Amino acid sequence: MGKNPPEIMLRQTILRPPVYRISLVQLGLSVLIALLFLLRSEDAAISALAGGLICTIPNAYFIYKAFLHTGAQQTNAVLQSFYQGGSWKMILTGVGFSVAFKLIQPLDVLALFSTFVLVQCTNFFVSKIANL
Amino acid sequence: MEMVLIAAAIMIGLGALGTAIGFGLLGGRLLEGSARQPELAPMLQGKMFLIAGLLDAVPMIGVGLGLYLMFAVYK
Repeated sequence: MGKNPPEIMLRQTILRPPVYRISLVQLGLSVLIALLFLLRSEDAAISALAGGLICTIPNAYFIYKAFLHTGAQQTNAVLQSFYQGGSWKMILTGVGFSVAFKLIQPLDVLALFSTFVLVQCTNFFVSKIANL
Repeated sequence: MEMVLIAAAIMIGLGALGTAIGFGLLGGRLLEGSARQPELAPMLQGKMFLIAGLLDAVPMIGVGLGLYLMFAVYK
């Protein structure tokens, strides 16, 4: 037996919001802040870029996982994917900080954390960025 | 030195716990809302993502500060 045509149409009509814009905005902001820190020193710029990427990359993975499934019929899959994305976001952030603290020498801690916090603050404007 | 490690562990652990409780509540509300009004499920998913971003922000900073404390101790 084939699938019910209205059901197929329904699945195709559920549009995902343009959430990829959040990652683009975060990436752009990271580069912008790193360029501003370049006025201070090259080490500060590298640390700032690392801080921005530590926020952007796990968040991009979380966005991918959060919107992997859509629709009321797939609510269980949505939740499962959402929880996995949230857990991995925290793990990836921890790994990112550990790698930055180990590999970037000399590290400008102020630049790293200030960029991380500023890029993290884009979450307050998600509804405007992605039309949610 | 041990106190710093305990402080870092508390920062990371309680941050993770708070996020987990928040995600659990959010997921429960999404299930409830989707069961009551299935046609609103995609919109609710977007709203859940919005709140999850806010929920995650502060514990993530806590994770970073906690790891910095740990790495600063073992330098």
